[in-house]
Amino acid sequence: MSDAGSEGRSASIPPAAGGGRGSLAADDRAVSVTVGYVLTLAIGALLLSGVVVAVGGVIDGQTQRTVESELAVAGQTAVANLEAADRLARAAEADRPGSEGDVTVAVEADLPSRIAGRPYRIAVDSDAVAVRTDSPDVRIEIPHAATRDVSPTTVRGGAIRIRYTVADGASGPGTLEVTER
Amino acid sequence: MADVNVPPAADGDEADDERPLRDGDRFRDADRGQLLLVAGLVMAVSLVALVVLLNASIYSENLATRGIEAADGEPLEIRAAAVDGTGTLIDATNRERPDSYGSAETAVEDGITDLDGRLARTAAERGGISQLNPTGDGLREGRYVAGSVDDSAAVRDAERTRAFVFAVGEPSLPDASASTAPGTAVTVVFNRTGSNTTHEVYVYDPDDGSDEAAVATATNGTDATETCRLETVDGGRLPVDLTAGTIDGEPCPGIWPAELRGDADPYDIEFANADGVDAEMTATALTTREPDGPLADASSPAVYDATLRFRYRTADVRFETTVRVAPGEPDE
Repeated sequence: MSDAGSEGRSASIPPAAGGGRGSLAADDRAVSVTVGYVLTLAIGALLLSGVVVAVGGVIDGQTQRTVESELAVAGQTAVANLEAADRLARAAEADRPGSEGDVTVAVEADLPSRIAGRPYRIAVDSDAVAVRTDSPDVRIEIPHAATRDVSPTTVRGGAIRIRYTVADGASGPGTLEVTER
Repeated sequence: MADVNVPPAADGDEADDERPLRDGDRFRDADRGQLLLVAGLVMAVSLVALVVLLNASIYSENLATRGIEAADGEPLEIRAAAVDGTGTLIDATNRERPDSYGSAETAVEDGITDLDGRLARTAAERGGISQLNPTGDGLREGRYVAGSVDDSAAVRDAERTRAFVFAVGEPSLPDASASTAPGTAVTVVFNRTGSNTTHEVYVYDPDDGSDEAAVATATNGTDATETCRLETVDGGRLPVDLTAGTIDGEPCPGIWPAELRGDADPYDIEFANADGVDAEMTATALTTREPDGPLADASSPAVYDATLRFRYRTADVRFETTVRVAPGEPDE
């Protein structure tokens, strides 16, 4: 079809005019491309920001849940080791003749140094073990059943050591102490 | 013909003109592709982060459901084995009735050394180190007493007593009640001469006609109170474990005088209304004096208790303590 049309006009329209019609057509396309490009950018940016917001929300929520879950596990591990040290301390003092001989109990626990990639702290006292992170701000408190006094302290999350000592000649009970290892 | 005049170059030019345009389209497509690429990268990074978080969550929940291995199991287990083994060793040595305390002491020390080696092997199999040895003055001399008793029998100057079982033939038990027990019931008397105080334990057949046995306690022989009663008696010997607080294996708390728990003034163990009664005692007392009466020939030097230093260590646990082993001693 185009070949037939050009056959009729080719005698009167100089070849240069053909080039001018091509520029006009190119201008039309340029307008269309600009609008299309802007539209594409806008839609793309909208889509991209939507994806970022949606996925970011999912990741934030999952991060919160993961941190809570891991803090709870780390706290329970700390409590279990604290209570194990307490049982050992009681056993060490059972049937101890008077204040003869020193009592030494040490339990080392390999807790994770980071929770979901974030550092955390472990706070212990005579009632509970509390583990917390600042970002996100999550605090999990787990009560323990240790019968010996626990020296209140806060240590960085990671490997910890729980010690109980009663010196030779001293009558118990002593105090459980949690330190970083 | 016109078709012939149309210069092929015109087609060629037109074709050349369109080619750059198509390249431009391709460039524009490439631009859009960059946007999609960025979106894809964001998605990919986000998904990787999500996977890492999910993995951490699953791992921590796995740890939580796996349970936490108690660090104190093995040291407590080996300590219990050390205490039980030493207790059994002491009692077995005493039952052999050694000629002198020196031979009893040597036998127990050799046994503890052997026990230490066995426990160390057990600990080594579990990746730990254990050590058990008597302290400097680890063993104390006592008397092992096992024989028939009558009113003249007595154990003198006992500072502590353990595994004290008083067995009475049930048919020979006198009929009595809590109020009449001081004059008639078979009586074990703990005579604290230092404080001029006595504590009595009465064993009798209740005179209310029932086929039972009862135990009553009193201080200074007055206000006897029935502590417990055994419902059925098989007619044989009735063992009353005064230090463990049982009658024929049934719990009977409160038989052992509270004043004699722990470190007490030396006291004598005497008997009353035991003449002509099928009665026998077995005990280990912390005293160096020979008993009186028929018990004089029924006692032998013995090891009363052992004080041991126990150490246990693994990569995660360190446990050191001193423990005194006196099997069958009442709780303080």
